[in-house]
Amino acid sequence: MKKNITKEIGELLEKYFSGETTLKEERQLREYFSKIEDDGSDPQIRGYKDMFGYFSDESDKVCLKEILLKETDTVKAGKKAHIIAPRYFTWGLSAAAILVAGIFLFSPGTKQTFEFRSNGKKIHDQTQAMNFASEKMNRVNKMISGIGSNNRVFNIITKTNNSLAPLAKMNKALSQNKG
Amino acid sequence: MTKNMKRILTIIILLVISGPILFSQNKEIKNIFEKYEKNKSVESVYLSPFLMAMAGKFTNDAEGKEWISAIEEMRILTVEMHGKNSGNVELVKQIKGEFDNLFGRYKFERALRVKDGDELVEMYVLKEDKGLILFLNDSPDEFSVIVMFGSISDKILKAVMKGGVKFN
Repeated sequence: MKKNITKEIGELLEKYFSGETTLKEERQLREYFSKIEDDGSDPQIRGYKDMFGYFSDESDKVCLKEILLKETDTVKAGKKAHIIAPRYFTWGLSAAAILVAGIFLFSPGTKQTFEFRSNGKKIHDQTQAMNFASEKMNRVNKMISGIGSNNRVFNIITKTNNSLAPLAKMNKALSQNKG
Repeated sequence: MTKNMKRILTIIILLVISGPILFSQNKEIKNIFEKYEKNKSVESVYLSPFLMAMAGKFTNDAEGKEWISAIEEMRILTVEMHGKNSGNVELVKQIKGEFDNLFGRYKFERALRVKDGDELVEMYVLKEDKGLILFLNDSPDEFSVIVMFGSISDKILKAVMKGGVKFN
């Protein structure tokens, strides 16, 4: 398959990052990026391949686990149904209780990949969100660079500038896909 | 009550008590953002851990990768104060008050303070595994808070900490 991201896939990616894709569309993205060629020249292809490849692998693992569990259940039903020792059962229960408590305590809730608000309203435009973030960060960087004669301070400016560089690259990739 | 049940209960109680203490400063900052982001005079952006992790895949630059891998989440909040928004001075005072209160209660280090005319930038750091870097940018036309949550190690902050940057 050729290595250019089509307009249709670009639009799907935009929807995906806004958290608006259906399961069918997500499957379409996974299939597309599993087939697309990556010769290493385009980091965005590699990025998407890694991302959707990871999700695809994870869903395969879940399927495999389900099959294994079913097989184990079948074997147990035929032979030893009550093989779990009470001690392990108690520890299993405590582990489950801790897990459930942990999920309730520390779960941050479902959030989108980004959230941009202006005048009290949500704006579903990642490019605008990134431009806003970049503009505010640049303003801070500009202020700090005003004392650029200090070498030690200069180091931190370079670092904070770099912090947004990968985001800017990702944003650029998404904007190109849009067009 | 059996011995095992007591153990389970102890672990759950410890989780309930220690969890909020461990992450409370980050949670409080997020609460401030959530409190003000719906305000009509405020613009805000939240970049999720997923987005930050993804961004790392889009760069070949080693230094950029290193930094982005340390930052898990980013939030920015801005209040404009020029023209028709000049009435937002009180709102800014209120937000500043919330952060001053936080700085007083947690071990934040003010790593940098830069003043240029009417504009002021302050950088605060909480150098922990689940720490943060916070910028306050205050000028007559707008006020911004930028927070990067993540693993704030010596390596990331070396440039600031090495040699002791002078704070005024």
